[in-house]
Amino acid sequence: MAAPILEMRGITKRFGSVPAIEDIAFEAAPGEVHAILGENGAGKSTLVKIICGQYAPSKGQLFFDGKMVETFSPHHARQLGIAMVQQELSVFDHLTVAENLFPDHRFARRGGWFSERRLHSAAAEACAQLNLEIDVGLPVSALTPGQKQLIEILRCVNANPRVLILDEPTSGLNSREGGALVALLKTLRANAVSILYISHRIPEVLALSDRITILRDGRKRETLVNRRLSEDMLISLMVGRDLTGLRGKSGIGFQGVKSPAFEAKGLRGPGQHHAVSLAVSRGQIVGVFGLEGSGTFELSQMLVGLLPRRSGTIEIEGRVLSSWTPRGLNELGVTFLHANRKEAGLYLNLDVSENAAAPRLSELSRWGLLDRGALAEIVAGSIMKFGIKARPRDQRVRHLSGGNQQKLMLSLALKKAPVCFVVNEPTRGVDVGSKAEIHHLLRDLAADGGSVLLFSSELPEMISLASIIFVMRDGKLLSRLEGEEITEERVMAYAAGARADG
Amino acid sequence: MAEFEINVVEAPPKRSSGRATLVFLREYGIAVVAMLALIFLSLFRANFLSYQNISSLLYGVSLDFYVVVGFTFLLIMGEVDLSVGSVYALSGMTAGYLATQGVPLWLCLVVGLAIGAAVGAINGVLVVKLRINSIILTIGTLLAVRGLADVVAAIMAGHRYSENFRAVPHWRIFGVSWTIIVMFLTVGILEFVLSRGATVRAIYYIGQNPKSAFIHGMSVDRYRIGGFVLSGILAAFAGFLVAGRVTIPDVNMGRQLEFNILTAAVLGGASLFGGRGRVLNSTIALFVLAVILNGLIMFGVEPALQQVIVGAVLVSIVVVDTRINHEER
Repeated sequence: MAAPILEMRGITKRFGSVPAIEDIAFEAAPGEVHAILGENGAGKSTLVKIICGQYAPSKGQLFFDGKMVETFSPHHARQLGIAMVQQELSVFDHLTVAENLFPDHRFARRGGWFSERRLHSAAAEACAQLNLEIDVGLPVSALTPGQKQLIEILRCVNANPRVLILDEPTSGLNSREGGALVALLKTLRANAVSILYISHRIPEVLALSDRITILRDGRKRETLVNRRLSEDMLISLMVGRDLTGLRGKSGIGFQGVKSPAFEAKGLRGPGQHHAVSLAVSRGQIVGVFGLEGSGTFELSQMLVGLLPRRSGTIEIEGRVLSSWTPRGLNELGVTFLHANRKEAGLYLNLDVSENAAAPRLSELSRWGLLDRGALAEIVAGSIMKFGIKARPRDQRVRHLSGGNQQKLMLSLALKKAPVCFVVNEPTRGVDVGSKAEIHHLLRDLAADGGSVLLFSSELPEMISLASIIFVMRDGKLLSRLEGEEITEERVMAYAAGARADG
Repeated sequence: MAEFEINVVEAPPKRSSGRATLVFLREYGIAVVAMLALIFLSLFRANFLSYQNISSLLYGVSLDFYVVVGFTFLLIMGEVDLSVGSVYALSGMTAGYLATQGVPLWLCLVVGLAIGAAVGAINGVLVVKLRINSIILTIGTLLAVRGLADVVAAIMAGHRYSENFRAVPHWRIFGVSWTIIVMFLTVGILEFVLSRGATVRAIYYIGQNPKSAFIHGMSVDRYRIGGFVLSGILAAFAGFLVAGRVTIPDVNMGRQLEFNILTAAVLGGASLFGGRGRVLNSTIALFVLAVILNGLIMFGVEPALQQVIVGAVLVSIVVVDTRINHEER
């Protein structure tokens, strides 16, 4: 293989006294796709953030093109030819697709004048690379999240980088978009671009990459050449333990009466034509699946009182409500996990202990003062029960990994066993290990007589967890599948609008 | 796997030390500025450290600090109330006017506070229910309420407030002004309550992430409206005391007070982005600001230049605040 364009020697990065990565040796060659695998918290993001200059290492050296890098800033990295597609979208919503693709107006200047025609033709050319058929004059706010993500990727590619870093690039894409992206990456590889690829989707990594580096707990486990590798092998390297014991269906362990725990009747949001009704019983995990824009997210928000509705009631264990707030529902035993932990559910600038206090301020009040002893006990209990890797008092939640943040958020929502737990994307951006643990936890909840209403865009997750799946399209609940009827093909067929065959 | 023999090199400390400096400035900036100002002034102006001068500075702060308390509460929740200076003037002048008309003092106080509460409630309800940006909205109420205050001043037309009204800020307990004693007590109690009080702590959560706080069952809207009402009431109370001290209805009373208060609160570590702030630090900062202004006067700096300096202080601490916030995003 060609001489490495990028080389790390003994790189360590600490936040406070906590090492995020330790003594990492890593290299990437031009014209290769180098995948980085690891559970959340393994240090993948920290590693690439050092490469693209967002963090300076605490120790160790980074070489680019054989020369030691001494300045760590995103600007400097960009000058070297390192581009990174961010995990979170950073498109300009109110600008057009073309303006987003060329924020520097590189192709648009002619004698100092702005030429919309040239900008648009350059943009259309760029979009063609990904078979993206959109009007480049449209504002980005009109696009789907998947298309926005592609725009983001194209913007980085337009800069003709020598090293392109992608952090979970396919998480928001449908399969066609994902396919187009893979084709583009292969073209780039042929043009000697070095591609660093972070993904939790192991099949994708196996299909695409030349080499795979596996991190665990901030240290490098192995760098493997992608030849005769299997999915199971990679997972066991990443996790360091066997996950087979954590699989299985819901509704098996629960022996009690399956009385309806949570029911929604005739729910309709503003501007929606169809009313939605569904129910979940004790001991059950019921899923609601729909493609982007089908209304599942809005439904989940309406159910818990975060979005206004035009009509409809909900019933909790026989108690009918015609208006409700998250607070009121909480008192009746309905709790909620928000889809986006950065947007809501956590306080990123506070530590774990302060986060843990948030949903229980009044319970922790003793003569009006916060009972610190009780809080410390709760925090220690949550850390144990949910397997959160963090120090409660001196580590901001911002610096925890996605998996640990997600588990913390679960621990806040599940401060007591709920009658019904409405979960939205419980494992988004979470590594395989945490994912299995979270699935296990949801099954346990149901087995212990609780109920779970699951909203997820990840179909395999849905199928492995839910015993009943409602499929949603265009704001309508189309069908209810149960038991044997649930297959990936059938759910997809309903969701995508194809005629179901039998 | 290849092993490398390497010399471990410490990474360039630039970025992290920059951040450490910022955090240091946030935590101790107010103390540093206070020390520098005090040392400088006591070295170069003999009468600065006199009992007379210090106690008169403290006295001034003890009348105004109520405003910075309310302001800090709101900043913690990520809101701003710029109408405080106008409320302070309208409430103080109205109470003084009523006292001059022979209305009993307690009733004058109640009316003054009610005006503050009413303006606060209007601010709060409009900001919360109609989701109006609080800076813009309270600039509106600042102007409207200032107009009303000018009307009261015109009605009084240069007459002095009644004797009993003017006496209130000068009452003394054990030879010390009661307002100074109350200030120490209030700040002490609030400092304790804000750090340990279970339900009061909700304001920090609301400032950090209102949506999370809502999901976690905090009545975000009620806290916010309550914050504005409290801010109005506290500004009114300060106005009540200060009006008595200035003895006549002064059209300039409380003008630009909001900017000094904002400067003090942010100087004391409250963040314009919400989620941070302490009553004790804000009050100390208000004192420091008074010291700086006092020093400028002692050095015979032109009043116009004094404004330039307060403005510069505000800009520089906002720069620090924004940079810290930026690094945390």
